[in-house]
Amino acid sequence: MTPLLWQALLSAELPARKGRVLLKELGPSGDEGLDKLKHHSMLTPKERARLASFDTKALDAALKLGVRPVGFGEYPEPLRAWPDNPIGLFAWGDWSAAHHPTVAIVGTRGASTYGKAVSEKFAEALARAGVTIVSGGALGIDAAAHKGAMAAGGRTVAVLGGGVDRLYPAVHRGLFQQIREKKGCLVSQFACGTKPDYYRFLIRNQLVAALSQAVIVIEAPERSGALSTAHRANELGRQVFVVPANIDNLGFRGSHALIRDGATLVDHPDHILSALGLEPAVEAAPLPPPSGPGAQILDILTTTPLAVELIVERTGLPTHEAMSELTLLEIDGRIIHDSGGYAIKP
Amino acid sequence: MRIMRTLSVGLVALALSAFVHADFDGPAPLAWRWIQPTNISPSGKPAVQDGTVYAAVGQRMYALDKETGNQKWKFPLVDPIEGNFKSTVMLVDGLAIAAADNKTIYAVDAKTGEMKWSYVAPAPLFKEPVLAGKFIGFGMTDNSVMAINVADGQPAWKTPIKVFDGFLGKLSAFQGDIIYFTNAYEMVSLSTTTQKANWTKRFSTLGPDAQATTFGDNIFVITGPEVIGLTGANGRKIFEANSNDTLDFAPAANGDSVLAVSQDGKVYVFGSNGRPLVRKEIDLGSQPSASPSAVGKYYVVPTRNGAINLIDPKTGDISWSYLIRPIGSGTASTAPTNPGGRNGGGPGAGPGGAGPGRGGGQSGANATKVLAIPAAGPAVADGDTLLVLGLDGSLLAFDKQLGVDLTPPSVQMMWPNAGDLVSGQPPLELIFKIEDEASGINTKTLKIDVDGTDMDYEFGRDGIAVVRISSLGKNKPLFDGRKTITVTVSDWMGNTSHATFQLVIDNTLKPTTRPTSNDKTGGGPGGFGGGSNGGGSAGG
Repeated sequence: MTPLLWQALLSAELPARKGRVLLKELGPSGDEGLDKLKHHSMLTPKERARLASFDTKALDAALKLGVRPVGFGEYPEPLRAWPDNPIGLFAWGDWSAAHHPTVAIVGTRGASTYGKAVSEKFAEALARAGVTIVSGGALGIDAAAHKGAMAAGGRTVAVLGGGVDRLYPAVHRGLFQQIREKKGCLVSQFACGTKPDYYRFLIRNQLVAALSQAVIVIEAPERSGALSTAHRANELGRQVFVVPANIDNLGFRGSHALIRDGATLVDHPDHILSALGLEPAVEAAPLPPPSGPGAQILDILTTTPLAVELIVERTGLPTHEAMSELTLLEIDGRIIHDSGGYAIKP
Repeated sequence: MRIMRTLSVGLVALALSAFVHADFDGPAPLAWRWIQPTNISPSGKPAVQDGTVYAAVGQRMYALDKETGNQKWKFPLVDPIEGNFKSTVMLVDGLAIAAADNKTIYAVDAKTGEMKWSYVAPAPLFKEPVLAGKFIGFGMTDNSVMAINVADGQPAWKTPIKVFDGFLGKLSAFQGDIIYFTNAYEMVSLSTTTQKANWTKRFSTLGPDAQATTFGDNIFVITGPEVIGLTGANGRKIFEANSNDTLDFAPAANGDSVLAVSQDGKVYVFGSNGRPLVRKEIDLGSQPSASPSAVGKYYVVPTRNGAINLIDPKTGDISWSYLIRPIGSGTASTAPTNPGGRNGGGPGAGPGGAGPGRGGGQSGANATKVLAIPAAGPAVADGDTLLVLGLDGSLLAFDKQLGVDLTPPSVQMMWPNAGDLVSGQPPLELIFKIEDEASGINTKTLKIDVDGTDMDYEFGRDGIAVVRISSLGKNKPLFDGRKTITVTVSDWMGNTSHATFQLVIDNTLKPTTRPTSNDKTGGGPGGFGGGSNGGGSAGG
């Protein structure tokens, strides 16, 4: 099938089963199949309208950038096992990333420092063990998961809620570029040029779940898209893991509800690896404990972020010395920092 | 029947004119943000032609697809130029032309980026060259002005023309004339063909950033507190309008009105006859960072706090304000830029920079935290798209059609930490960081309540909201027990965030004071978190 026909089929946003019937009927046709498709009696008026307005310009531009269609034959095992798997995908980057063991990490866009640090930590550890991290490319937990995987030199797949060329959120343009350049890929079940939309994010969440052997929910408030991914994963028979937080943290209410509903509480990436039957990667030899000002700073830090001013106040170190020590500790991977301040890396 | 036909013709004409004259018309989501690592801040504005956006950043010139921000070409393709581009890209006769600080003006094919010619000036260039008819005019630091041919980059004049009093401000162009200012407060309209002054005009004063703005047949210029309108052909005064304030940069004009901004960020709007259109000046809350520009029916004024402010000249309202944030650790990757004087690349470690004193807490070495990125030059509109070049080398495109904003603002509780056990007595402060990178925060929608009781707050353009608990004000001390704080805020596209946080109040505890630096090595009185993140390791 030609990319043009592929684009047309995905533009129609057909239900999976109907799409497959049409796909079978069209067979290995070229662009001439487009006319047949446009006038097919199975299409509803809305589907026909969507098909009629499909965007060839966006497709051409995307193909030039290196975007390519991916059919059922190239689907990884977990995606093949989903009865409602999409009729086709567009991928930008190294699609082979999806053919390794996959774990999805999902959570809220408005994540806390703790949530983002945990997301990064889990993604790093899993990626180091050869797992591909799947997430939605969104702000917060998703971004931290993608970054964590790349920081470990691993692979990551971002599943987008619009066309694979319609990068959303726009501020993640750099992150997406890094994902593509570092053995990962962007993938979407929507036609090139498709604008992201709320309902498309829900569809995207299903694909996140279906592409993964397990799903980890890091931080999900009561109303979170991450919960829909978790529920879909559960329906697909994938194991759902949840990282907890303290009970006063309202950002985790949805996560805690999942645990109440039977999801597995997890507090270390090794639990996931063990569930997937994978060996944890041998970790690098631990760094020697810091001494002097570094040790002073580590003594007062916890997993709750602390402002620099408080660190300076409590350690008595001059600001410039505290700053340079904090930078070194961060480079060593002992602490993390965010807008809330510095915290011990969980 | 005739009425019907007239109506349908009218509708077609209306639709056509709407299509042809589509203009940027208000808050819009970020469609894309492109960024290029650079050690030297760019200057100037983006240029747009035929669906391509051009910008000269660092050591290269770039052409980007207007719809997606994807790069079409870069010049040079392999080794960058020795020097840095420091000008707006000029588009003429299929060429994209930009000047660098290595005395060189480069012209490339606007479609392919292939080099067509380059010209090395006898002396370093003075600020930006201008396009005057078929010539590129430029000043040089040896106090001379020169023109070269657009077609081949060859000198149009035998020798440069001396400007004995030296240049002031920036050059501009009116039809085939180069307009420049001198240190003797003189404005000269120099013909590129005769190489003689068409006219000169002397002012009592001119600012260091003086630049003429041209619109139609007229030229507008700022002299001290006044905006002067002149006829471009002969320099005759059309009007003068006094703001009684110290104006800065170039004015902006759109045919119906002229807008000028003062050094301290007050905006004045005058009609084409010089009469004020807005009774009270518009306070931007920050100094301007570049000249304002006319954008459809609106004006855009960039300010040093990183905001781009869309101003409705009819009502005097700030119709939209968007804060350009540094590319953060979770978002960036391609661009650990380090524009002049800024240390650190990413978001800082401290809780925010809400300090009342500017520069507070920015005392230590490497302790400057970048909270926002000012625009490098005026904003530019092309149809429905608004384009702004940031000092960090990023190019932002806002567009209602191309952009999507489905994400509500993010709200973080910075102080105390959510879940903390604290005293509810003064001087307790609740501090929140509120951000929305897609379309910006609509400050009018912000509401903060504690257990359903609305609280007074201060909200700065840096995105920090502070609720001060006081025995005297509206925000009374909090009683013992668990308190739920709800922050409700929308972005300009109407996405609303309802963020809830809990605190446990125990009034037997010592009252909580917000952290301040005890460092005494300099700096201001200590903004909250203003001086963190010297290393900025997260920036790239």
